[in-house]
Amino acid sequence: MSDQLVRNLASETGVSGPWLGEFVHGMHDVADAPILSDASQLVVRAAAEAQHREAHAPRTARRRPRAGFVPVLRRGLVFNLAVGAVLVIGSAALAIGSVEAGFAPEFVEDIVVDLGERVGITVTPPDEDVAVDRSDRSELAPGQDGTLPTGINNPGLGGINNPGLDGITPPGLGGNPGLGDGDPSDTAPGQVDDGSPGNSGQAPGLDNDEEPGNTDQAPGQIGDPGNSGSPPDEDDAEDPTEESAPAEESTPPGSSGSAPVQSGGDSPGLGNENPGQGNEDPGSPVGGPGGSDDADVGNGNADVNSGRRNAAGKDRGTAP
Amino acid sequence: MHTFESILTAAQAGAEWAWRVLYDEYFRTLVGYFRVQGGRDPEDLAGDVLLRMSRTIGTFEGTESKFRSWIFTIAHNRLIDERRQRTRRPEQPEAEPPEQVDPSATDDVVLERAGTAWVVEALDLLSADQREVLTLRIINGFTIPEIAGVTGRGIGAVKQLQRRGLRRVSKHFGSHPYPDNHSERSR
Repeated sequence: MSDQLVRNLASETGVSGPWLGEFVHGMHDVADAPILSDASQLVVRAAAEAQHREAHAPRTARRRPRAGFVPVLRRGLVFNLAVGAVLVIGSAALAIGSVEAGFAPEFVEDIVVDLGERVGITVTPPDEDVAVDRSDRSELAPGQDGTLPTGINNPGLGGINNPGLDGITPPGLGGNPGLGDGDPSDTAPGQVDDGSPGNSGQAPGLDNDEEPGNTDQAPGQIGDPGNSGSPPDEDDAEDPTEESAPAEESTPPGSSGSAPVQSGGDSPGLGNENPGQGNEDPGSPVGGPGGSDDADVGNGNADVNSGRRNAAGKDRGTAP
Repeated sequence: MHTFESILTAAQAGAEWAWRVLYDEYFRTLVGYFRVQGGRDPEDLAGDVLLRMSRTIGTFEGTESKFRSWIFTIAHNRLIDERRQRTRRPEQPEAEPPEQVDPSATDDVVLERAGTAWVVEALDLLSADQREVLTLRIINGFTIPEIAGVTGRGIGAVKQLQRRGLRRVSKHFGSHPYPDNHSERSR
């Protein structure tokens, strides 16, 4: 037996030698060493009694906890259902909260509101933010009183009464004879009433009366920007109110209209009474030779009343 | 003369005579198995295997060859448990020597008297797996497929363990010639 085993080992492993036989015999010697204690009686009796109890034990006592696919599946199913329910409820609460807080995207909001209606839950998303269109804000024109369509009151434009527009009677229209009405009878001596209210304080010698032959004006004095000695416009002389639409120009409140009223054709110093308004225009020195302080006065009035357009010397004497 | 089937049936019914037969047949083999494996208390381990057999022998069905493989499968698992326990709780030296101990009754002394210390020394060079495969192959006479069934390994792995184990022992005997040990053993 041992010799056969040695040969088999040598053929199976390729390891051979005289030591192999000795090693096999030595291992058998180790295994077959005498047993120190004889516990056979004890072991045999214990084994027999154990098997006897096992064989004659009641069936109920031998029953062990069921193990298998179905019980495990059942326990796993219950656990999974519980976890799934918690996840669904939590997700629904999170979705509703985000919709009501306005954080949810539109498609989530639609889904939540739709599902909420189906299950009887009212989900009220917040109102959308009001977007103010810039074009809406510009619908109110200056002088137009009212409320913007967006609900924003605009006191700077419509809520302030503009005395320069509403409370001032333009010269020549309010029955102030001698103030730029073109009537030479009420004009002071030495002055020329050309019908232009803003030019009523013009010094004599300046050709503003549109009369041909009155060529005493020095070149360069007529038509200079800001110089009130420029040739008058016929339209202005005939109808000085045509371009005096109060809503056309945004006149600063309280700064306009006073000069034409106070300044008549014979009040050369009134124009300078409002130095912070119209006379800030340094164009008055452009009056050139032959001009007088009246030119500055008239220039100042024109600037005050008509703003930038008057700087070009065109709309002289227009009402505010 | 009882056949294996009659002995098995009687053992399953708890007959003491049947267990006596099984004890005589396998206890000694089991002790040798645990001893070569280096178990701490081979006789105790072998008795434990028989007790484990008694709990589950009622469900066993098969031939004697399968029964033998089944017993050594239990022994294999018991050995693994014993090694794990030894790893968790290393053996600590006792403060006082146990009383009433025959100095000639220890396992090492027995092996030394048998002249097999050199074999144990060679076995200690092997890994646990190599040692178990060689034990089952040489001591218990299992074939390679049977060893694979007992240890739960593949046949190729068992062959590899057997070859490497024997080569290591061969190298050991190359540097430590066994004739000296053999002569000592022969005395």
